[in-house]
Amino acid sequence: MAMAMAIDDAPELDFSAYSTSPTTTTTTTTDDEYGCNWNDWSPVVDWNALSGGQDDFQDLIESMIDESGLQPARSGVNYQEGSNSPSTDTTMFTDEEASRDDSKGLRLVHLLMAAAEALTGVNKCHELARVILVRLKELVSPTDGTNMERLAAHFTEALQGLLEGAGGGHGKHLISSGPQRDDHHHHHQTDVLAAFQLMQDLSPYVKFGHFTANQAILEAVTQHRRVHIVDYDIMEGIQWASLMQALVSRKDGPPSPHLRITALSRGGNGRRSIGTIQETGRRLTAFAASIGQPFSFHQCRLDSDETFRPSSLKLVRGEALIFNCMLHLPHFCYRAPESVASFLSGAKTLNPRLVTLVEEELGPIGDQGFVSRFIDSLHHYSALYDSLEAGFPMQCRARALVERVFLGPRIVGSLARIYRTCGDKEGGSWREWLGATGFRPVDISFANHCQAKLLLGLFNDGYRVEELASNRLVLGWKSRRLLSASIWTSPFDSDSSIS
Amino acid sequence: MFPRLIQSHEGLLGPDDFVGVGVVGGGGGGGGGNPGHRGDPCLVLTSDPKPRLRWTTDLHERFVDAVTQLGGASKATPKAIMRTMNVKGLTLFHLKSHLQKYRLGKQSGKDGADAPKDGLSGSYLLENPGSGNSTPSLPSSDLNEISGFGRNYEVKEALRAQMEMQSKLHLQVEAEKHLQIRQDAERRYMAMLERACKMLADQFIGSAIIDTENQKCQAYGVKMPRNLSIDPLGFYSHEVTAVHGTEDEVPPNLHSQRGDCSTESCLTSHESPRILALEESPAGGKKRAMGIDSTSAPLIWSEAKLKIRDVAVPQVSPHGLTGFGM
Repeated sequence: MAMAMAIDDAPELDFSAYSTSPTTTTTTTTDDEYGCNWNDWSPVVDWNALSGGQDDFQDLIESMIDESGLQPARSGVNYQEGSNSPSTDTTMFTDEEASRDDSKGLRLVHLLMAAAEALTGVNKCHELARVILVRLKELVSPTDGTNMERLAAHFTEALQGLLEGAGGGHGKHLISSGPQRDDHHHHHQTDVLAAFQLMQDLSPYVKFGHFTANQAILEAVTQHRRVHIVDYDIMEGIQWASLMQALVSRKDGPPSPHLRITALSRGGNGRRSIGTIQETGRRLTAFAASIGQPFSFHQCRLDSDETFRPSSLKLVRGEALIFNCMLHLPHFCYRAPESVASFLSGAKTLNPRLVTLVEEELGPIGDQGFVSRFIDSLHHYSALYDSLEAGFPMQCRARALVERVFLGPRIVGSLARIYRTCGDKEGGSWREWLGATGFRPVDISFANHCQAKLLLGLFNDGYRVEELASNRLVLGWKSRRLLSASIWTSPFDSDSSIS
Repeated sequence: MFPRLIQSHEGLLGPDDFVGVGVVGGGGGGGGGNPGHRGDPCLVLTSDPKPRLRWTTDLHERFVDAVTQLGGASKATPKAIMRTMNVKGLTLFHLKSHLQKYRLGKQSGKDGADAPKDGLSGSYLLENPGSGNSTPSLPSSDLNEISGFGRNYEVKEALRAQMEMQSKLHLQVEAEKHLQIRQDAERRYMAMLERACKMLADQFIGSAIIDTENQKCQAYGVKMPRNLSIDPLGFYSHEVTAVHGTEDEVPPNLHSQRGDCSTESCLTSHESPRILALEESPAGGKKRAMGIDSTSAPLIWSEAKLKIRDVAVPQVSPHGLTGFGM
């Protein structure tokens, strides 16, 4: 059962911003500017797997510190400590550059905040915002520098987009590829695939959502012979491979249940998935055949405004109906809230056995304006960047690809969404929406929770899973919550007859 | 409550998983009526019924001897116990769970009696409901003499928690197996996806259609796409260097398809159409000689590399194809 990546005899590295070794200054929540506590234990990584033997280790670290482009774990949090006590902060690192990075990181954050403020604050001034963004662009690059710098570059770009969009109408058009966006976001398919595979290897992010949802589905359909899953955004259908395998090997209940998947398809081509839905369908069918899983695939067209109409679904009596809503995929396109809402409320009318929802976990929204949500977003992606780096500090180019292909565009999308919805109450999370609409929570089983812990155990120690509600598992990196998987069932006492 | 109850290599059930163990009224959701393998009633994730091992007094005594020999419950590891006991057919799985229970029994207030009485064989009290009042470490007769309903209840709760822990342990083992299987399935699917993607990319290259990131066609067909300067596969470096090594001989657009070259077969199976398309390449003669049917079985990349380098007129013989033309 030796699945953990940690090795006990790895030398303790003090290069992480949130190490708790005595020389650090991090302690209690110092700067509550970002309201989170970054003083967790530094990640212990299976270095032997990644680099040479233990002997090369020190050299490795030296070279990392020396090499300009590869600052070790200069997380986005450094600015937090820098703001406290720059002098004591330098005791943390023996390296001059390190403290320079810290203050640079801090400067970047300040600039970003100022730009955000100028864009949307009480004293809105687009000109000022423009100037600040220009300055920012001089300082950062999306491919070089520390985590913070690369992150800042993407945020700068996002703000730039908002600025330009703000001039002529709301920002929605920025998200689907406008002409300017095309160059950036039209990625070669192999890039997208490569980045996706890397992301799968580097972090449990995608798998966590998929596996948690699948386990819940498996548990809900044990006694059913027919299972029908309506997938909001099937993308490449990766989620379903492991579900099919599990269905084929299940020991309880009727063997070889028939699986039917209906994928919602959209008219436009704002998607960044690899290939079309038809291709996904073919691939899933082939995979199912290869493992002997009875399977059929259907499409259901959404309206042009991406509204889901329950009547357009074909249903079969006695099947277990599942609505699957994964909103966390890295190459997930922005979906208008109205579309998601139509999907979920449509689900309600059909009395489904289960609704599985995975979404990004945001900080508390409340009545906060753009700037604070902007900062929250900065926090969020900073944690993401850090989580990728902590696990794989040497694979900076791999990470850069993932950042370029996925995280960058996502940042742009997130900010655009925040921009659009700040001030509205609709900034809340979908799970809150589900609860409010009347869906009933379904408990996360011990086995499901177990699986999640096991999964995280395959990656860096910094990941953790929390059960924040009986029906909700949350993936977090250090003290930052990243992803929420929640399970629901129909509001009505369903008596789905089992065929 | 029992911080060292689970050793790190078991690792996954933490102290927080055992709410209320040993506390009156704490009790978990397992319930007394559940057979050892099942946890929550609504749970699906159960395994094939494992053949249960009956822990007879004899066997248990051996176990205790072995444990004592090895220095006590906390020092002894299942593996060591297995060796020491030297009982045929005894597996680590049996030992692990038995050891857990033993440790728990020791901690929940035994009175120095190591060996359980007969009533505690099997999966602890499920097969012998009559002894349901005892902890594994207390002789039942002693317990019955302890006055007070409260004490009995406390003990029952401890037992219930213990059973729950056993089932959880089992679930954990199952979960691990399942996770492995599911991940494998996902990997297979990703491989399918990858192949499809490469086929697609390949067609583009073959017909010299460039995406917007590549500027123009050259003699080799395609200018190196921008993304190549990033080596996303520093992670898979050995594959990358293999390719780079032959860069002078193999058209650079070979790289462009390598979103992820962890699958050698994908890499090489796409070599061919491109090669076919390259009529004008300087090394075209050599390449054309490599004309491999695109539908051929995949080459081993290193083999191909050898052929390119070393053989002027390669008799490429992957799986029975002739080297020349088609």
